[in-house]
Amino acid sequence: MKLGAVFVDPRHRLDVVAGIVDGILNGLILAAGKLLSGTGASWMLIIKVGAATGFTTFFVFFVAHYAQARTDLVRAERELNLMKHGKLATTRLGQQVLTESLIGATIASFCGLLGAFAPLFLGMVLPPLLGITITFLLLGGLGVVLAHTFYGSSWLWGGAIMAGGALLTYVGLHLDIVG
Amino acid sequence: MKIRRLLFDVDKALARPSILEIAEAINNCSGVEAFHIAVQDVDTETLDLNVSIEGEDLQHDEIVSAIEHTGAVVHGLEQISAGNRTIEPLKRSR
Repeated sequence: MKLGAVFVDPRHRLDVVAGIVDGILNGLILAAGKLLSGTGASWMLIIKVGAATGFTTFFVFFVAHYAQARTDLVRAERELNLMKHGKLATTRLGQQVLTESLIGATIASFCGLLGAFAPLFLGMVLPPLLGITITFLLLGGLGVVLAHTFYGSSWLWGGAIMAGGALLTYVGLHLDIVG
Repeated sequence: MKIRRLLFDVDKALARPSILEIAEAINNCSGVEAFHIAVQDVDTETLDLNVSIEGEDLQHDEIVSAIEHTGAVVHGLEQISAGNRTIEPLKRSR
C-alpha cells in the first residue's frame, strides 16, 4: 500500500480526523494566549507545540487502539470457547493487532502534528485573529467531512467542532500556557 | 502411517483471521497438495469452517499448529483417510 493511500483508507479515518482535530485543539489551547496577546508565534513555538502534540497523540492512540484490540481478542476467545485466556494474543493475531495499533498511532500522531502546525503557522504569517478564524473554519470543514462520511448533519457537526475550537481558544487565552 | 486426507472442524472469529490467511497457512504446510475450505455455519461472532485437505503424506500436527497460529481454532478432526491409497467411506447397510 502506498504511503498516501494509508491516509485515505477508511480503516484509518478515525486516526486521521481525530489526529488533526486533536492537533488543532492542542495548538489552540496551548498557544492561543501567545497568538492573541500580540507577540505571535515563532518557528520554535511551532516545533515545541507540534512535538508535544505528536508525542502525546501517539501515546494516547497507541494505548487506546491496543487496549481495544486486545479486548476484542478476549471477546473472540470467549466466543470460540477457548479455555485459556490470552491464547489468541500469542498467535499471529497478537502481532497483527500490535502492528495495526502502531500504524494507527503513527498516522494519528502525524496528523496531530499537522493539526497543531495549522493554527500556529497561520497565526504567524497572517494577522493572529485572521489566522485563528481560518483555523475555526478548518475545524468546521473537518466536521462537515466527518458528517458526510456517516450521513450526519453537516451544520451540526461543523458547528459543534467549531464551537469546541472557540471554547478551547477561550480557555487557552486565559490559561496562557506558553505565554 | 501415511495420512492422505483430513477433514477438520475449524472455528474462527468473524473479523479475523480471514479465510485467505488460513488458506495461506495450510498451503505452506509440508505434504499438502490440495485443500478446500467451506463455511459451514455463521454465528453472531464466529464462523464455522469445514477444512478438507489432501496430500500424499500429510503432517497432522503441523497443519493443526499452522491453522491455530493464524488465530483460528481447530475444534476437531472429523475424518481421516490413511494408507497406500485413498478409499471413499462406505455406507453402513443398517
